[in-house]
Amino acid sequence: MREASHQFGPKGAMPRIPSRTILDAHRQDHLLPLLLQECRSLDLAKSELGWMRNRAVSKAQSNPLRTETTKPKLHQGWRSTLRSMCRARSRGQPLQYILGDQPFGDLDILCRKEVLIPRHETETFTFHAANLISRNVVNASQSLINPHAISVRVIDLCTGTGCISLLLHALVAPHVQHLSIVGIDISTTAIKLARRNLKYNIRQGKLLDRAMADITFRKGNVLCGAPVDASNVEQALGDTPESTLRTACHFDVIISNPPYISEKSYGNGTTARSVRMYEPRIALVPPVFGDALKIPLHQQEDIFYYHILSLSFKRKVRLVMLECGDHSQGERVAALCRSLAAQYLQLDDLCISIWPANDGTLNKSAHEVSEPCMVIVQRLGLGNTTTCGQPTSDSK
Amino acid sequence: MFNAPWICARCFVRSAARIGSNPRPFLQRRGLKTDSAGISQALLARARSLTNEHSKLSAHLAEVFDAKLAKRVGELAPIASTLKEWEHANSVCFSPMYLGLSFIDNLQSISELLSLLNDPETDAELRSLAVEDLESSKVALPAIADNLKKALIPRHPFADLPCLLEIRPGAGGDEAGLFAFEVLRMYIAFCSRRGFRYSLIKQDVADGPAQDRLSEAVLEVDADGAYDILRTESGVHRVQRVPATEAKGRTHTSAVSVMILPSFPDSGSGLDSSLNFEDPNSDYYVDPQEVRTEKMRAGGAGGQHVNKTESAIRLTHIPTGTVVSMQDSRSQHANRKKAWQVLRARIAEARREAREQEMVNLRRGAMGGVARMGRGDKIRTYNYGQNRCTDHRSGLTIHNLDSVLDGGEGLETVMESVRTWLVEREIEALAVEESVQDKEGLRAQPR
Repeated sequence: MREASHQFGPKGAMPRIPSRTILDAHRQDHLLPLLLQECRSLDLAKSELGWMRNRAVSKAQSNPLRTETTKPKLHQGWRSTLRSMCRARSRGQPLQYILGDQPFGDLDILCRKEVLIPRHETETFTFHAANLISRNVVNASQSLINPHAISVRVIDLCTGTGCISLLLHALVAPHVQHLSIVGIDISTTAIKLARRNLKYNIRQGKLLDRAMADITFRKGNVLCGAPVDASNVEQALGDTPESTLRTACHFDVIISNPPYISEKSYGNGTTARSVRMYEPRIALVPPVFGDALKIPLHQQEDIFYYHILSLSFKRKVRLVMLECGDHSQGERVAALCRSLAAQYLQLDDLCISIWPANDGTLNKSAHEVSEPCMVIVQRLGLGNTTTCGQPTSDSK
Repeated sequence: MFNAPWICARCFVRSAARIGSNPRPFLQRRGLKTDSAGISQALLARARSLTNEHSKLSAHLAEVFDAKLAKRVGELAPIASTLKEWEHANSVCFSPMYLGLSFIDNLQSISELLSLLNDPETDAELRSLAVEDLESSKVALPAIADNLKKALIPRHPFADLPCLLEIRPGAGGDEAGLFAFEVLRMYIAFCSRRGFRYSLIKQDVADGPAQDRLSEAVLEVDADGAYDILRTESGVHRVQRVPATEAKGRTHTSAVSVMILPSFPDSGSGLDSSLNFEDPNSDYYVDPQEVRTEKMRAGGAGGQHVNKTESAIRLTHIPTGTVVSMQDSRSQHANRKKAWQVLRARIAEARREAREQEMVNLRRGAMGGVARMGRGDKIRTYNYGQNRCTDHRSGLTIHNLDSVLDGGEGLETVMESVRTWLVEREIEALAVEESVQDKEGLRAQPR
C-alpha cells in the first residue's frame, strides 16, 4: 500500500493548469505562460518574472560594451535576455542556474551546473545548527576557566556549493575565537565553486575577513572506508581522502547534507523532473555497491549516514547533525546510530533527536512527515549536559 | 441675588465687567493675565511637580550615575528651563495675588515694582521704566507659555524610531489602486527630498495588465525620528478626479489608507529596554510561540527531491489575528525577517492605539467627545479638478496639487500645519486630563 502511494502520489500532485489561468497569465505578460509551465502557480510565476527582469535589467546596465556601442538597442538588450531566460526556465532549467546565484541566509551563494543548488530546508537546518553550536560554546565557556581558549572545529561533509560551511561561519564566528571549518566534497567542480563562493562573499562584505583562513575546502570521499571495488568510480575520483580526514586529527562537530534519495524515488516521479534533468545525480542518489550487503543497512540510500556516523564514533565527535529526506529516513538513521553506538560501546552518554520534532503536540499532516528533517546526535559529558534538555523527543 | 429666574450669559458677563470696572491700571494687568496665561492651573501644577522631580533627580545624579535617570533628567530639562523662564516673565507682570502662591522667590521684586507703580509719589521716569519692563514681558510671555505647553506634552513613545509606511487602496476599486501608487510615489519623492534612506519592502500589484495598481505596499523609511515626522500622514487620503479608467468623464471619489508603523531597530543597538522587542518585559514584545509561520508550498516531497523557488512566508499572530505575508525576496530568510518586522510594527502600533483609546475614554467624561484622529478617519482630500489639496484636520488648503504630489514644498506645508494642529490637540487633552485628575483628587480627599 505504501509503495503504491509512493508511485501514484506525485502524479496527482501535478494537475493540469486550467486554461483560464494560462489566459490570465498571458493577459498580464506574454512571458508568463512560459514560466507557468515550471512554476504551476500564477503568483510564483509573477515573482519569478520579476526577479528575472531585475536581473536582466541590471545585467544590461552593468555591461559596458553594450551601453557604449549599441546604445539605442539597450532597451531591446534586456528584453531579449529576459526572453531567453524565460525560455530556459520553461524547459525546466532551475532558476538558480539561470540567475547564477541563490540567497542563503544573508549570503549569496553562486550556483552552477554540476553542483547541487542549496535548498530552503538546508538553510533552516543550518540556522538551527548554528544555534546549537553557539549554545554548546556558551555552556563550555561557563565551565572552562579560560573562555578565550575555546575553539570549535567543524567538518562539513558533502559540502557542494559550500553553503553550510559559509553560513555557519557567518553565524558562529562572532561568538567563537577559534573557528575552523573544513568542507569536503568528492567533486572537483564543487570544490572550485565553494572556494569561489568563499572569496565572493568576503568581497561582498557578507563574511568576515578571517573566514579566508578559517574555512578550507578539500576534495575527499566520504565512502572511502566502505568495502568497495577497485572499479568504483567514486574511489577513482577520491584523492587519498583517508589522509585528509586523518590529518585533521580532532573534530567537535560534523554537519552534512549527503545524497539521500533512493533509486526508486529518483525514478518514480517523487523527484522533480527539473531536478533530475539539470542537477547532478551524484549529489542526490548514493551509489550502489555490489557488496553493500556487508553493511547492516535496510535501505541503500542510507549508506552515507552509516559512514558518517562510524566516522563520528571513531573520532568521538561531540555533535553530529545530518539532514535526512523525510521522517521515516530520520528514524532509520536514529536507529542506525543507536546500533552503531552499541557497537562502539558509547551508548550511555548519547542523546539522539530528530528536528523538527515529530511529536503529537503539533498536528502534522501527511506531507509534513515527508518534509526533510535533521538528526542530531549529541555526546554528553564534558560539562554540557544542559544542551540536550529540549529536543529529546526521540531519545527513547 | 437676582430677581429674574435666569439671566443671559452675555448680559451677565457685561454687568459683571461693569461692576468690577476700575479706572486704575490694575485691571489692565488683569486683562493681560487672562490673555497670556493660557496655561491652566492644572498644567502649571504639573509643570511644577515635574520640575521638582527634575531638580531632585539631577541632585541624585550628581552623586551616582544611572543611565535611566540621566535619560529622564534629559527629558525633564526643557520643562524645567521653560518653566523658569515663564515664571520669571510672569513674575514681572502680575501681582502674586492673582497667580497663586508659588512666586515666593520673586516676591521681593514684584512687590517693589508694584509699589513703585502704585505709589503716586514715584517720579515719572521711574514709572515709565517700570511700565516698559512690564510691556516687554507682556510681549514675550505668550511665546514662552507656548513653549512651556509644548514641553509638557509627553513624548511619543515611537518618536525616535524609523518607520514603516503602509499603503492600501480602500474604496474605489481600480482607481484606488492607481491612486495608491501615486501616493507611494509621493512619499518616495518626499523621502529622497529629505534625504531619508528608504527601501520598498513589499509591493503587491493587483491582477491586471498594468503594473501601477497597488494592492499593498510597505515602504521602510530608515531614518531615526522618521516616525515622528511622518505620523501626521496616518489616515485615509481621499482623491477626487476623473480616473484614467473612466469613459464618460465623471469625477470619482476613492480612498487610500496610509498607516505609519514604528520600525524597531535590531536588538543590541543600545536603545532603551522599553523598545527592545526581544525583552519579554517590553510592552511591544511578541511571543514567538503565539505566531504561526506558514510556508506556502505545494504538497509532496521536499529537500533534495525538488528545487523550490517559492520563498513566500506568512506569519499569523494568533491572539490578534494579524496576518503578514511576504514574498518579494528570493530568500525565505529575508522574507521571514521582513514579515517579522512588519508584524511587530503592526502589533506595537495596535497596542499603542489601544492605550491611547483608554486615555480617551478616561477623558471623555470631562470633555464630551474628544476629537481623535484614528486610522479610519478621512484626513486629506486631493481634488484634481480644482487643483487643490485640503487637510481636514488643520483646515489648510493648498492650491497647487502638483507640489504636494511631488512630495515637495506643498506636502511639507501641509504636514507642518498638521503638526501644529496635533500639538494643540495634545495640549487640550493634557489640560482636560489634569483637570480630571484634580477633580478625582478632590473627590477622593473628603472620604
